[in-house]
Amino acid sequence: MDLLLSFIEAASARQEQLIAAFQAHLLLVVVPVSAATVVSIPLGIWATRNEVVEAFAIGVANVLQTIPSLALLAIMIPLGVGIGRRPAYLALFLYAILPILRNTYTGIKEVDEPLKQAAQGVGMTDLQVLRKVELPLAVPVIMAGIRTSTVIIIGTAVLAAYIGGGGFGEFIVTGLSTIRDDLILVGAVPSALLALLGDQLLGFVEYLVTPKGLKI
Amino acid sequence: MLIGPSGCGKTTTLQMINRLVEPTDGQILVNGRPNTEMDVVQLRREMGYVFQEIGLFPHMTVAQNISVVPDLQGWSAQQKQQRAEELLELVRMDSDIYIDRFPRELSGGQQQRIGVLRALAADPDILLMDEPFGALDPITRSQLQQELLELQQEVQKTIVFVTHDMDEATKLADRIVMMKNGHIVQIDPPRDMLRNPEDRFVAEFIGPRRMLQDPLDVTVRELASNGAVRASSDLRLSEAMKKMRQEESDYLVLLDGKNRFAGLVSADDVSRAANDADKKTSVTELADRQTVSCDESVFQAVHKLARSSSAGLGVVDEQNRLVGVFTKTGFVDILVEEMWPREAIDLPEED
Ligand SMILES: Nc1ncnc2c1ncn2[C@@H]1O[C@H](COP(=O)(O)OP(=O)(O)O)[C@@H](O)[C@H]1O
Ligand SMILES: [Mg+2]
Repeated sequence: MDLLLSFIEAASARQEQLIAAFQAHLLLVVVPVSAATVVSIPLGIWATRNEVVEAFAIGVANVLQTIPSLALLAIMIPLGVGIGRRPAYLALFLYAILPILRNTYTGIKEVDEPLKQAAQGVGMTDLQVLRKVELPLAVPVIMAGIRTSTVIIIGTAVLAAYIGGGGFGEFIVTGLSTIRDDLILVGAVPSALLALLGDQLLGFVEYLVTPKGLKI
Repeated sequence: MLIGPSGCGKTTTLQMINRLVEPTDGQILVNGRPNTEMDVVQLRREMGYVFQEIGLFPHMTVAQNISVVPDLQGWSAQQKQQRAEELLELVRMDSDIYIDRFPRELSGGQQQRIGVLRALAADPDILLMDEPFGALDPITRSQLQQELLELQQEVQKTIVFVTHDMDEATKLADRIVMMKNGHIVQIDPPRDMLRNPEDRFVAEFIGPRRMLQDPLDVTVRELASNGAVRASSDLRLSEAMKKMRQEESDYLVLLDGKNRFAGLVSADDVSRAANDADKKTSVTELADRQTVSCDESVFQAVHKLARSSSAGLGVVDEQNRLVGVFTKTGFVDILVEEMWPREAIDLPEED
């Protein structure tokens, strides 16, 4: 009860800081995820068309994903990208790639073989097969990848505060070093809420982009 | 009509015609040209393909599925809509109800119909149909087969049809290609294949002698002889005699100007009339005009023939066009073959 009261007090005392942290956190999610989407979708499509790209892209993305997120952020410093927002964006971007890339790739690969053959068989070019059949059918899966990526990055962005990236993580970092539970909560609660909200929102988007014929 | 056991290469053959699979050897001529020399996309668009797995696009409506090829060919929205409605009507599906539905909302039979319509949409000259009625209950299947026969009467296309069902083959085919392990075993019209299977494999595939077992199930179309000597109905008696002698036939099938059945005359009748003092001048007056519809069963045809004084019946379609003849002597030949098949009795082969 005490903790709750002191949390509310701490939060209301920092309204302006909270709004700034919210904006920064949002950017820490939107910028890397958007960039990762723009890169991963074409790359994922390419990987379904070319075995070299397939092995390389999926392999590299897998490796990136296995690097602990804090390590990936921290490594930006010795790599010379420095500290602050830019290295945070870069690290989170790398981290956001895999779910989108993998879902684009499998979403297209998993379109039924007979359907692809029918699309070819009626005389579609490879590009038309992609545009008219594979992509529309893969869109829900790709969207699910974007959603997974977003939720992961909302969480991981908290760690960006360690390299000066800002966001809700700042409260947590400060709270941890000064051993103040209320401050930790000021960072943790909104970032958790943001993750839940983002998940719900993108779940709805996923539903919207699912072709009508698949919902029946 | 390609037929053969599962895995014998029927689908692969269609895929090679359409170039979804490239042959390792030999070539396939389409309208006289090797298909490998043609633009592959163009070739496919000019050829309707009904896939074994149907392969309707689940995210597209019935109208969009039907219009896939017209769409690729750049038809206007109005043309596509009109064509889709027209085609749905052809298979007796109400376009108001179905045109905006999705494949998942359709029954199996309806999906197969749409698969056929998709292949027909851009009015290709060649249709490839891979077991299009495969996964259906017998009633729907026979209904769709009937629709296809009617459709073919109207649209007249080259159809390469794959099936593993001998009844379907005999009902629909002009020629049956029996396949086994990627090879052709026999190519013949249904009637010849039923009567003279090339070897044990074909005989066993055809199954027990259908005609004796199910005389109601076998249509006269299958047994009608189409090798009969044809002549114009305004032939004079002397000309008719000459023609029969030349062709060594003991009867003539008469056709009118529009290729419709006009009667059957026997050599006996003609020679008797020719010797008669008060000569009739035209063969038509001697002709027997009894006919039987090609879709009647052999059972009904035999009864009609037994009650008739004529040597045979004309087998005709709905427009009275000649499909073949069903004669008493021909039927005796067939019966003998059915009851004592040559390959079973092991008689020395007569040529
Ligand atoms: N002439 C052939 N030579 C080699 N393999 C063949 C040949 N014909 C068919 N096959 C192979 O046999 C398998 C079954 O063929 P398929 O055409 O699907 O059979 P069906 O449609 O008659 O059931 C396929 O894997 C195909 O590649
Ligand atoms: Mg097959």
